[in-house]
Amino acid sequence: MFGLAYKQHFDSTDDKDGKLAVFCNAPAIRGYGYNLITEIIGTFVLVFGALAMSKPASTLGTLDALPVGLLILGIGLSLGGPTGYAINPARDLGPRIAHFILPIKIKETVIGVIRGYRLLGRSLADCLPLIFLNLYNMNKIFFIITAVSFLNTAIIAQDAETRLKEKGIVLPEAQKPVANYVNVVRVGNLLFLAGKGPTKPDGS
Amino acid sequence: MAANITGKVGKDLTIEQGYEAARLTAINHLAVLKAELGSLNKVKRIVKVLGMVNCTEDFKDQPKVINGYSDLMVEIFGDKGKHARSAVGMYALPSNIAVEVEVDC
Repeated sequence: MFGLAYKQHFDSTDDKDGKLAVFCNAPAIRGYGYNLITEIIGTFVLVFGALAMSKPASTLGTLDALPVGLLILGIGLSLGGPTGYAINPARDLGPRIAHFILPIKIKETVIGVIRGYRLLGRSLADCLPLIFLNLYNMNKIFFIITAVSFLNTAIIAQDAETRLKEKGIVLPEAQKPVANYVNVVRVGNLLFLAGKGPTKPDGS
Repeated sequence: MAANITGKVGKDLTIEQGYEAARLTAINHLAVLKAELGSLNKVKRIVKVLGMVNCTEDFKDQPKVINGYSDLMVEIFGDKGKHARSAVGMYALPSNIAVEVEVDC
């Protein structure tokens, strides 16, 4: 069907790349070294930006993902030319396979991910899932995979406050000590909490 | 569901009710942590839990009761919520509460 939509245009040109470009993008100037640098920068900015975003106090539902979406858009607008802006595997993957073009850019993705995490003080182990996900990365598809894995691992899975909210747990006021002791003693990075018992939802 | 939070597990309360009391205890600890830290996202690790169950002499399933506490911590904090733990039986607890828990994190 879609092929028919473009048939006349395809008939009027012999440019193979031009035909492919209808369905997926390639760098404006093919140069693996320079493309690689752009990919590293793009991945880094995405990882760094998405991780740096703080979760709003109130949720807007699916709109919470909007900042990440705008970040991806910004990366696409600024780096789309040098590296080819294509982040939708639903659109890209089929044509690429069909075209026997599956450049798997593993190295720059891994480097970008690690740098993004490192700068935020996260451990290498934290970014492994992302790297594994990105091993599936075929060219620009890693953008979308990275974004999705962010929403899943960085924001949802690693965010205790969000999970609390998801479970519908509303925290009560912290119980006041009932005798001569304090609730918490902090020693360096360690918190020692006093023994607590349960309270009913009404606080009694 | 009216939570039963007082009484001896094994006589006044079932294991499931004890579990629920331990879960409510965890929520109280989260409230203390939130008051101390501002955000639960700052918690790096739940390190050590001492769970005490107000139970009858012949009750032997203290770990199943304190799981109410541990399960919630893992649900909220993921791998960071996993901790070393003791779950013991107590002859009596203040105000006859079913469960008391200490935590280091």
